[in-house]
Amino acid sequence: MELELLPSCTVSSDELALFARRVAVLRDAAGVLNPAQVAAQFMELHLDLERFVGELQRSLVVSSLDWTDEDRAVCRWIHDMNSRVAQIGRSAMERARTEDEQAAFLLCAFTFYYTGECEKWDVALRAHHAHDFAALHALMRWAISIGRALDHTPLALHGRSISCTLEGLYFRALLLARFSAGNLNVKQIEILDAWILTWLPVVAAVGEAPPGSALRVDLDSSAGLQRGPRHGPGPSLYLPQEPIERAYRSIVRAFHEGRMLPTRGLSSELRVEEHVAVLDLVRKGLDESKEVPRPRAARREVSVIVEIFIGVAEIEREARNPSAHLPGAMALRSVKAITQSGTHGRERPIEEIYDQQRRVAQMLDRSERGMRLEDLADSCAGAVPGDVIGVKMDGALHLGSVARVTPSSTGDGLTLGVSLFGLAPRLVRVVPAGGGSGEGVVLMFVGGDDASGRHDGFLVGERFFSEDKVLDVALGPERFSLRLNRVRDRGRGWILAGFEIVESEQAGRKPPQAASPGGIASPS
Amino acid sequence: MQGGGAVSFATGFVVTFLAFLGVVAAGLAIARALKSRALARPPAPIPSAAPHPGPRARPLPDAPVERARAAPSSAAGFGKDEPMEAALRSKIRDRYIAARFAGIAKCSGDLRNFERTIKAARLFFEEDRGERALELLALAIEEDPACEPTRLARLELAFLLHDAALFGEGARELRQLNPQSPAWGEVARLGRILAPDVALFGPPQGPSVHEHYGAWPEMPNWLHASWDLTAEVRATDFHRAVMASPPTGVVGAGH
Repeated sequence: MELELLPSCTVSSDELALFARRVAVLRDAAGVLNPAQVAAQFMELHLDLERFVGELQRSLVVSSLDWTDEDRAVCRWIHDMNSRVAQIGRSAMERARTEDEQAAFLLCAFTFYYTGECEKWDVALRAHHAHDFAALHALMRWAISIGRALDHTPLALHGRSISCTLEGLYFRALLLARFSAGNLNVKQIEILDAWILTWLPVVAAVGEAPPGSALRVDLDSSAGLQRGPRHGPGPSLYLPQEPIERAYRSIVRAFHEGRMLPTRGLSSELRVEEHVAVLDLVRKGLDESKEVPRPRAARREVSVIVEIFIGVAEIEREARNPSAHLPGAMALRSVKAITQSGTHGRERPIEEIYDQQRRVAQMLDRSERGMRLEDLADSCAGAVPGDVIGVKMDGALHLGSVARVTPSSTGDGLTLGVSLFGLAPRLVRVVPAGGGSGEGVVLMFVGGDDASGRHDGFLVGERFFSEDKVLDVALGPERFSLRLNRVRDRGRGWILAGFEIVESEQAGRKPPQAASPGGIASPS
Repeated sequence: MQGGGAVSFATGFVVTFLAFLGVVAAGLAIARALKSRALARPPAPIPSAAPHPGPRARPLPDAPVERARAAPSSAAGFGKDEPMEAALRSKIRDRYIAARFAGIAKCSGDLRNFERTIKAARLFFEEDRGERALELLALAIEEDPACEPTRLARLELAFLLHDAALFGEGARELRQLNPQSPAWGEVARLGRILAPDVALFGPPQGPSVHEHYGAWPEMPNWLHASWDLTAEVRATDFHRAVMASPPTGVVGAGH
């Protein structure tokens, strides 16, 4: 049987089965052969697996089409292989550490590497589980104890030869685990991994906490990376910011020169926009690491049923024509009935024919700037990080972006982490300056937290934003001309645009004259 | 006639044979050239003992940049492809600028509009994104190194961000580019405040408290900050007018 991966390659299930058998043979051999032989066989399998999986991975990651069930089956297979190989490496290393240090060193490196690969494929499968890094930390403590944590060894990874240290591979696995928690997509985690592999030679952890809140790992715990200095005694390693800052700058510099780093490999085939999104994430992390550690915003548990709207079109439709309120509490059976009842009777012609499924979720907790929702009745299956989302609660619509998507506690739905924008949106009709035909367009105004207007914005589609027009709006006796002039936030297909009022006028009142030389107005 | 026919046959045979030899020789030469080129390629970096043919890949419908990337590059030994390499780099740089600075520039050339670029940099700075503001100005300077307003804006930004190294570097570049710049007196004054030990700016003249951002009399305002509060008043008016409208339905109309 052949699996057709869209649209780029086909793979026979026999080939997959053959590899699975080779992994099983290695697992059995690991208990019989001496450590050097196990390491040699491991290396042979690794080279074959890298080449084989590399091709599969390319076809899956580069494709811009939605994955089919066959694609997902291949993802699961890759994840499963990586997991099994990591497991074999760990147990073989445990045996080798007392008999053959060099073989143990190599097996330890592979264990770290394949653990990282597993973390990466968790993103593809949207698998989210509690991590226990105690075994990984134990391997790292062993590497430190024999003084070889920073020894360099060349390994063939991702189609190139990379000078690796055990410490570098260890932190790669931890960083991928941290970033695979639902806030990066498959392409972005691949880019991040390519950068981490490039940075491996410059990653050198320190035992003393640097200023700010650098990422830290406690070697005597089972936890992954955390921020800030450790309180209390115990062995910890910190990732200093400066080498990562330098690496970040080198990537930005390369883009200025029209190059992508690394210049080869899967990540170099991905869109520049994906790279820019990862750069933003790394920058955010670097900025956070320089700040004094802050406690997480207080969250309060709530348990109410809310209706949600994903995408600009759904949100705008709801803002124009609000749906009936949902009761704050209801049984799951009632929720399912609501999601299946659809939105019949709304104003779009297609809804006269086909009901659009209503999306209902349970709010688990909320803070000042965010909320956590659990998808009920599988109505949010398509949500991904970066989607704009509207949450209707107590009759009011709240806007935000999906920051994180993980499987729900029950395993049959999703949990969405939402970062809120500001005040409830208002619909404002604008027309292009200088007249223009028709009734203009309706934009969604998102008010900032304060009355100054400095943090206000409009939620618009990317195409509308790129038109860069001056827009007129009349609000009662007041007339304003505005221009969208910057991106405050952005995601899949939407932009939260800051704007400037270039002119204003009130009936019967003289318009204010800007004294700015050149007539450049400041933003709102 | 028969003799003439034999001669013409013999001539035709010889010509055909020579043509055949020529084709064979050319074929051999091409094959040699291809072989030597193949041998000149670096060996694959990773040895593989794969017993499997691997998944069979078909070409993907790539985006323009990826298509350009797939084209042979100068690194493959084709000297005539250097313009293609330059075009590819230019395309990647443009795509990067468009994605990184959406709404500000769609390509490198847009950064030559220095008023718009400086204004965008100021907005980034006002939103506590100084690093992004500096990157935008750095790109604009790369695009148009002779544009003094952009260089001066970066100097003011470096001053406001207390980045003495960047200020010093920018000041030196400005001095080299235009030793007679009328702005040099201001640059040196700010330089003496930020980096009093740097000889380029002249002898220290004591500490200064004048480190305000914006259109203050003691600041050069190379960032083009607004000279009054008109924009702030307008923004507040707009916020108030929208929020005073009913929470549902569409408000507003064209002029």
